Amino acid sequence: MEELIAKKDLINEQMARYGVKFGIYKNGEFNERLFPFDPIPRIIEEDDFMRLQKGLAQRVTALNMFLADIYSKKQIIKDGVVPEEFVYRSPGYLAECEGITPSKSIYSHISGIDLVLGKDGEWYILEDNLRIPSGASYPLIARTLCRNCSPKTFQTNKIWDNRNYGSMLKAVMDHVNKGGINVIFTPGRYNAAYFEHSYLAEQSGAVLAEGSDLFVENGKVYYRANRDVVQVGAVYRRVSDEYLDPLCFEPSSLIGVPGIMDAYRAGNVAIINAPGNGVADDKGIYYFVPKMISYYLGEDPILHNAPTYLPFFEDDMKFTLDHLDRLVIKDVAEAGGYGVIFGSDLTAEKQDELRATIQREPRRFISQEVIDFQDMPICNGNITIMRKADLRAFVLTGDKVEVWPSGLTRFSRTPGFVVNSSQGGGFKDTWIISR
Amino acid sequence: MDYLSVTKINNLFWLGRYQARVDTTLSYIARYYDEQIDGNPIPYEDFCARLSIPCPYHNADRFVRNYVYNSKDPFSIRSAADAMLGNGMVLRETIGSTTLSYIQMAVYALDQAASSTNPEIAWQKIDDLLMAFLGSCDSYIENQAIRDIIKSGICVEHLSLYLRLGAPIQLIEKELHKLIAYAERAFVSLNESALAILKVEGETISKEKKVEMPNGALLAAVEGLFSV
Repeated sequence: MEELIAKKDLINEQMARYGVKFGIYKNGEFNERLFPFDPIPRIIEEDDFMRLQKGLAQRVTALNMFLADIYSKKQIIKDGVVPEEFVYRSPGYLAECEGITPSKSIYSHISGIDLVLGKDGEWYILEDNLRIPSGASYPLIARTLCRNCSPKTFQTNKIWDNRNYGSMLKAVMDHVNKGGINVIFTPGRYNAAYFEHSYLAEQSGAVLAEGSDLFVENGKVYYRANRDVVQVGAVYRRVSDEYLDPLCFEPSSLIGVPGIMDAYRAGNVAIINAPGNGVADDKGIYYFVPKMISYYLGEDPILHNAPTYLPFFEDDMKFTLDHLDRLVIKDVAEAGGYGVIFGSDLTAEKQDELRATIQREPRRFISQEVIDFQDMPICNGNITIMRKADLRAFVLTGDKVEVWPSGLTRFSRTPGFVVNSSQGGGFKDTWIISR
Repeated sequence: MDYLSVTKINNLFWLGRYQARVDTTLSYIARYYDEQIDGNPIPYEDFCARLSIPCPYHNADRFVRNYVYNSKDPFSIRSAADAMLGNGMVLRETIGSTTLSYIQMAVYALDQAASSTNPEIAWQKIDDLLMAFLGSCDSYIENQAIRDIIKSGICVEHLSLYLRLGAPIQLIEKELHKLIAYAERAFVSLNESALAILKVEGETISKEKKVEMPNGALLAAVEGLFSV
């Protein structure tokens, strides 16, 4: 490990060589930055990972069942487990997806589940990302570069190989493919995650396409190659729901593919992940995921949520208002670390303002106990400092539900809890290790 | 199997053109820089006039500093390097991360050269990396059509610069024959009348070992050969 840490600069040079970047829009300008990498990995023991694996597979299975239910029979609402307000008022719920059964009935093919490790040694789920979770490409390329820079480290530690993500992704695409090529559909060069789109296309052997490269004819999707057209069987779209199809969603979208939803509805193309998944990763729905696991699977949840309160319920509203100074308040419509307010950071006056907003718009917020999650060591020049870090685990659902034996560990570069790359955070590799 | 969209063909062609623009113009600047040692001033005004670009540099030092390194000057080598990388970045899955890494490194090397006290050696490193990029294209890109489109872009840019800057006839002749060969097996649509002009000129140059300069008709045929 010491040798790997000593190679920090060399590894970051390699990252620069391969253009491991992410984009940020600030003040209307697009800038690309190298994603800061810290060589000290997060280490997860094999036994711990096995438990995580079971818990994550259980959670994603239940979430897929929830999505299938919501867009068909809605039994979970009829049975009073999830209030209908949390489904139909969610911005992620898309009426346009009602009655559509995706290929192999899979909705969330690639799920990014955010966890933290509490000081009590327990993993807590912070968030489910079932739309277009990003980040797998970074630890994927980091592993290859770290192996090149410090082979001895990988000879002397029994680290599970994570370089199979491209083939796992291909297997998922092949499993749901409706006949034709696999495509990764990117909004284009100026998307924050463009590096990831192009790298995953290279790794999975899929064709990287923009909206103008694809068209729909007679209910089928085609890729516009130079001399002929090729049918597309699976689209791993990295374009959000609202911009996917201007004929179905946002009519001003220039990056979408007109008619792709018709092709999807007709069962002629698989869309990965399915449109409409936002209803299941809404921060309000998060509260109900443990109940979903019991409801659909008849099992106790293996992994726990952070203790969460819904001001929508009277008791939770009272608790939230009474304990605002120790809770974290999250706006359910925000993502990427935005809309997160720590009550302890607010003045008494600002707390009162927030209380009034919560009372006015109870459905808009959730409140959570602040999980005192474990700090992780970070190299800062020649010294090591401790910073907050989370883990995004990737769960791929195809022929079976598989957890990628790695994950994206994001850390805060400044004191505080916000680890998002868009807010200056860095990343680490995640090792699953056998002793 | 690679499926090439019109957009990708366009990117491949311009990747080749910008690679050649960076490499060729830098080699001219290196030669001028070397001649300056013997007291020959850098003919920057003539250079700009031949390339039909603005010449706001006022003196040779400013010319070198801005034309080579200034990313805000749209006609600079640094801007051409950005365009080269921009076209390459959208082709990662087509040309491969390894091949792409050479042009990424060439751009870093150009930025590092700006603070070098020994620019000719620093420029040599850029040239090395651009040559490595071409080697990587040949070694790692299996699809011949992809290689041919990149090389067509390189030939077009070489000829465009050679004809404007008055390069030796041997260079023009060699490049013209290469371009005709790539064009005849081209994967992309061609302007047939431009190709016909290139063939006639190619035969004339081979026979007479000279070319009329400036040669607007030949330059227009080179620039108009591919409709990308």
